[in-house]
Parts: sequence; structure tokens; C-alpha cells
Amino acid sequence: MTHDRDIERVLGQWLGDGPTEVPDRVIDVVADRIGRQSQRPAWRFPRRELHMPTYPRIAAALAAIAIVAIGGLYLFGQPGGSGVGGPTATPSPSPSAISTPTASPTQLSSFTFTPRVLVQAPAGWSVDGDGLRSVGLKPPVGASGPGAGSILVMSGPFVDVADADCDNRPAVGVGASSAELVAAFSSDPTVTTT
Amino acid sequence: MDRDLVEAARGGDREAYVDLIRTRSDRLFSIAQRILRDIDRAEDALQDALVIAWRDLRGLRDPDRFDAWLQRLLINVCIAQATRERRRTANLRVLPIDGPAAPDELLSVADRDLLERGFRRLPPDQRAILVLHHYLGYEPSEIAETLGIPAGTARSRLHHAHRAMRAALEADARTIVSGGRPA
Repeated sequence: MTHDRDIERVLGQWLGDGPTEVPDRVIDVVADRIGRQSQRPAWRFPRRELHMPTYPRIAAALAAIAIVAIGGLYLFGQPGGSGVGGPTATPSPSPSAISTPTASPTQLSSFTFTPRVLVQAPAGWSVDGDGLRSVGLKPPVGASGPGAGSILVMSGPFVDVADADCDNRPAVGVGASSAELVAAFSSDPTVTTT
Repeated sequence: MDRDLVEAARGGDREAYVDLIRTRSDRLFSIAQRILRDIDRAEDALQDALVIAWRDLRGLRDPDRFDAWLQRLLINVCIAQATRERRRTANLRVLPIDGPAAPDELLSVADRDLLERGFRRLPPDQRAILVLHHYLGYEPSEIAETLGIPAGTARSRLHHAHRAMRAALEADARTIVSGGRPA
């Protein structure tokens, strides 16, 4: 029975034997368990990645790093910073609910997401969702006002799928190069870009 | 009809989901039992897979792919469970506990015992490949689609699974001939 053809012949026959009906109680247990289990919202699932050659992928990763760098500088809260985008850049309103002069900064770091993201943020900020494709930074609970939104850093572009449950939309018209991203940040009046 | 049920379940309708899985549970259970070689563990794996499927159902983009998606999820749960079990029982002799099989004129009790031991020696992912091919009758291209791997990889894995099964049977035969106890 150790010849290939013998094995293939007997395997089908042997696997064909055995129980083929599941007891009803199994489905009853499942029905009970899902009664206590809520569904994960669609936006929690990773989008399908675009197939990209290596170099654009590296460029996208560098662009992501640029976002982090800009975001980190913003989180430092340097009110005197000059706008990279030139005279169109507007200083952020001060002080916001998440950036107070007395708060001690927090060091935030990604562990799963690579390249590693390291940001010094105002007190109360935390890492929200450290995954293979993205890492999120969120403000303290109850934070409000300009600059209190979360920051999401992604390793690359993803296919955007229309989803009724997701109210997040990517910024329109922002390119993936560092210069374009810096320009986009500079045009945001709530962000101090240096 | 099923597409409507899938859509309803994705929208949070638990009754629709239970209706969906009730018509598929026998087939899924059969697959799990063949991979895990144990009725109780197959029931556990099926339950876990169905609960995970409910939780993650909104991640399914195409409702027409529900069956393939669910089957892949079940196989992954079975492989994970079998891997944990193999680590736990690496030094124990595993005995068949499913009770006597139906009498068959072609396979002797000794043959079945040999196959059982040989199959249990295989890594869980190879067991799954063999079940897909020999029990469900899937061709490598269908195996590839089910497991989400390239067709060439599926062919290669199937070949290796056959080779591993043969090696396991030969090792078992040598153990018996030399007077030792089968693993």
C-alpha cells in the first residue's frame, strides 16, 4: 500500500468512510454564541492592496514616513514653526484640547507596523490599531477642537471600497510623494507644518 | 436565495445566518472530522469557525463567495487546532476513538489502522490538502482557490502530501516489522 497509486486509491476510499452528519446541538450552540457576539464593522477589515512593483512600494513607504514626521512635528506643538508650503501655511489655533504647555509628552511607537513609527506626542495620545498595514494614533478621550482628530499612517495605497458603514474617506487630490503630502498638510489650517 | 441570506446575515440578521449554516453544517463537519480525525474536536472546530465567520462576515466582499470563504475559514481553524494538538501530544500515542468503521470489502482493519496512524503523522496542512483532493474530489486548481494559494503551489503541496503519506506508511510498516510499537 506504499506505492503512490495504491495510496491515492485507498485514501479516497478511507476518507469516504466516517460520520457525515453534525448533531443539531452544534448549531444550537453556535446560535447561542452568535447571540452574544457582535459583528466587526467592515472598516476594520484590511483593504486589498494594490499590486505594486517594489520601487513605488518603497516610495509609498517613504511617503508614509514623511506623514509621520510631519505629524510628529505637529504633535510637538511648535506654534512658531514656519510653514513648509510657504506663505499659504497657517499657524494652528492655540492652544488645543490635546496640546497644553504643561502636559508631559508621551512616546508612542508601533511594534507590528513597519517601518517602525516613533512619535513624541502630547500626554494622553495613544496608539490605536497597530497592524501590518497601518498604525493609528488617537487623541485623549474627550479631546475636541482643531487637531483632535486621529492620525492614520498606512504602508501603501489600498483599493478604496464603497462601504456604507465607513464614514472615513481618503483626502482627495493628495499625491503620494513627500512634497505633495507636505503641501497637503501645509494647506490644512489646523496643522502647523515645519 | 442564499445570496439574500448572506446579505441579510451581513446586515446582522442572526436567524438568516443560522439558516445559512444549517444547510452547510454537515458538509463542513465532514471536512473537519476528516482533517482532525476526531468527532469532538471536529465539532469544536466547526463551532469556532462558524462563530468567527459570523463575527467577520462583513469582511466578505462578494456574497457569492460565501461557501468558499467559509470553507477556507474552517480549514484554517482545523489546521490551527491540529497544530496545537500535535504540540501537546507529540510524545503520546494517539489512538483512534471514532469507533469501528463500516465494514468494507476492500480495506482491511489493518489497512485502516495503518492509514489512520500514517495520516495522523502528517502536518495538518498536508492533511487538509489530502482531504480536499481525495474526499471532496478537488483538483489542484480548486484546492488553490479554496486555500488562496497559486495553482502551482497547490500541485506541489499535494505532491509533497502524497510523498509524506507514503513515508509515514513506510515508517509505520518498518516499526511493526522490527517488532516495535507503532507511534
